[in-house]
Amino acid sequence: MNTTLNAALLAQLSDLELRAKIIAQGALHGQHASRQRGSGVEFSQFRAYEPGDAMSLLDWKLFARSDRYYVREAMRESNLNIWAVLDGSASMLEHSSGSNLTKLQYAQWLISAIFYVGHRQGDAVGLLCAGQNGAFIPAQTTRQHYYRCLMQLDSVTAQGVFPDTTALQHQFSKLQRNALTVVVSDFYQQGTEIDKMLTRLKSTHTDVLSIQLETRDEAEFNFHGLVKMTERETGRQRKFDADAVRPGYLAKRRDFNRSLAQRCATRGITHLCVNIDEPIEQNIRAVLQATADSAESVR
Amino acid sequence: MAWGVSDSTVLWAFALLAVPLLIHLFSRSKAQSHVFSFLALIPVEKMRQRSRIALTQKRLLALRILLLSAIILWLAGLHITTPYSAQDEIHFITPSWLANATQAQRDDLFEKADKANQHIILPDTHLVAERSSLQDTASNTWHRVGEWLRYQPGALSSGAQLTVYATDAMTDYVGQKVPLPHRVQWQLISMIPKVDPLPTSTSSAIHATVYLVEDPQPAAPAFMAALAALQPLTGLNLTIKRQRDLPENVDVFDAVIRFSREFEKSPDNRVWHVSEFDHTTRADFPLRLADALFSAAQHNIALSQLTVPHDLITSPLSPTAAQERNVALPNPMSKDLSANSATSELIAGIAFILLLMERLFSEFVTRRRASHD
Repeated sequence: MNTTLNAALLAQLSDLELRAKIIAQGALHGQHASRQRGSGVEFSQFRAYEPGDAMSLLDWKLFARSDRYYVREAMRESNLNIWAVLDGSASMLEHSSGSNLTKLQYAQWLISAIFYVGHRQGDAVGLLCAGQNGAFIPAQTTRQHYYRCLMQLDSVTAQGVFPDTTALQHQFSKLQRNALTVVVSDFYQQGTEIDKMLTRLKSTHTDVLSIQLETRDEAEFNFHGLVKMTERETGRQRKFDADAVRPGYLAKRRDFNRSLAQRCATRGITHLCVNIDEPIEQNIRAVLQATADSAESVR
Repeated sequence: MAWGVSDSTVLWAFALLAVPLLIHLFSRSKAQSHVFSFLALIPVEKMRQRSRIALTQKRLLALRILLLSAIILWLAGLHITTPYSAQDEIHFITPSWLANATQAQRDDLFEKADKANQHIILPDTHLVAERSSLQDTASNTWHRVGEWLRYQPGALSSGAQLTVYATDAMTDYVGQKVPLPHRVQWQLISMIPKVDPLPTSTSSAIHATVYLVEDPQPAAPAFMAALAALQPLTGLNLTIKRQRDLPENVDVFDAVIRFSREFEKSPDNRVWHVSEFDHTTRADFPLRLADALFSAAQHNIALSQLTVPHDLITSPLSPTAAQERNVALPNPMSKDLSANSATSELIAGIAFILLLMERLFSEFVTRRRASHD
């Protein structure tokens, strides 16, 4: 398997499951002490022994037959519901400066990897797209449902502003049953709709992982000279000297990120900021790690 | 009052004004269009600063255009001229006043006329000399003014102020007693402007040598005063030689004035016989003499139109040379031009200083902003 993930190649990959698998396994490649090991009874696979694995996990019978060390792995039974809330507002169409990868695509890949890992662990996966044409798929564990989620995830388009949370009350009520909710968004809001959503999602039985996506241009404001900018969500336009406003923008950007992190911390939400221009493998590994940690806390 | 330029071809340089304009338009940084996810993080106050920068650039462009315009106008020799047909003030000087006024009064009048770009008009008594009632009518000042206006309608315009310098002599005022000298003013209500220039002169200088033959009687002081006043008034370079008799070996002279009982002149207008009565009561004699001297110098000029010939006398000459020869008369080709050129230079200088200050201020603001950032 290729040890590095190529965003361009991934974008050309039409097989949704394969892409999710590549992303997830590529990100997890090289990690010792596989997280798939568990106390479940359903056999999953044999894999080669890796330093760090407990000796008790060795299949001695297989060693006797093949004279090689193998670890017997089993599917872990789980009743965790993994929900992915995807921001479907137009600001998610902001693309990276290096490639044409948009935040929406990046979020789709992240969620598909989470779904892949979760499905392999036997967790139920569900999707909620918070957009103008929001889609909602309840969490289930079946393989067909997993495929359905991947297809629905792949068909999500971004437009308009983040919707008012009052229209999503019904979906939110279903997200609060022993669930891990992963919110993938850039957290740009016209009012306080995203804050209200986070407050609504977080409960004692629900853990929330917020993944903030940003591009390099958003983080560093790499514009120069006189620019005329149009806001994606509202269509508002402003004309200004980019060099003159950069210091002020960066200061407000820092305040924005700090405030978001504080608001998440106040609600007990794990927050992760991901720059989509950074290597995808590293980011997805961090996201899956954070997802796994949050899932463990829910269990 | 009208604007004029000495060299109208330089005005084509106004096309150069398009250069800074085009530079400004082409150097204007076109705004690059971008679609951005969230504009709320972009500080608004910095955008206002951008508009201030744009305003500064426009101000700079205006100053550059102003500077260039001032330079072009300066090169073109912009000046403000008062057309002859639109005189604001005309001094009508009677010969008697000229003869009786003191030198200080005459100098004051000439200086005032020079500064105010005004003109002095002496009535040509030739116009009324043929009239039969010379003693009763032609010598009356008001009648002379009327005659002059009748023959010189184009010299005055609507709103012009006519000032008459006269004496209280019986020959000037019939039935009126006024202090000496006296100034009477009329405000002309309506007069159609008209310019009727005379033919140009071909001579380059007006020098005249006049012999006064004081035999059998000497020249009266009034006559001498009037003759002396003739020089600064007309710009004539008059050489007056007083002799008991005309020397026989003298063959270069322009006029010979003999004081005798009869008033007559020779057919060639060079020898004048002036009686005592003529040079005392008929004080317009110096004007007639000057008229003859001008004619002898081939200046086709009548003293009654002294304001016009002044320009025309100087026209074939350089302004400097003309100014030297006509020190007493207003000279729009010399003094006025230099004064208005100085105005153009002043405008150019002010524009340059403003441009420099603007540049320094912009640099200061830019550096200060950079240090704050």
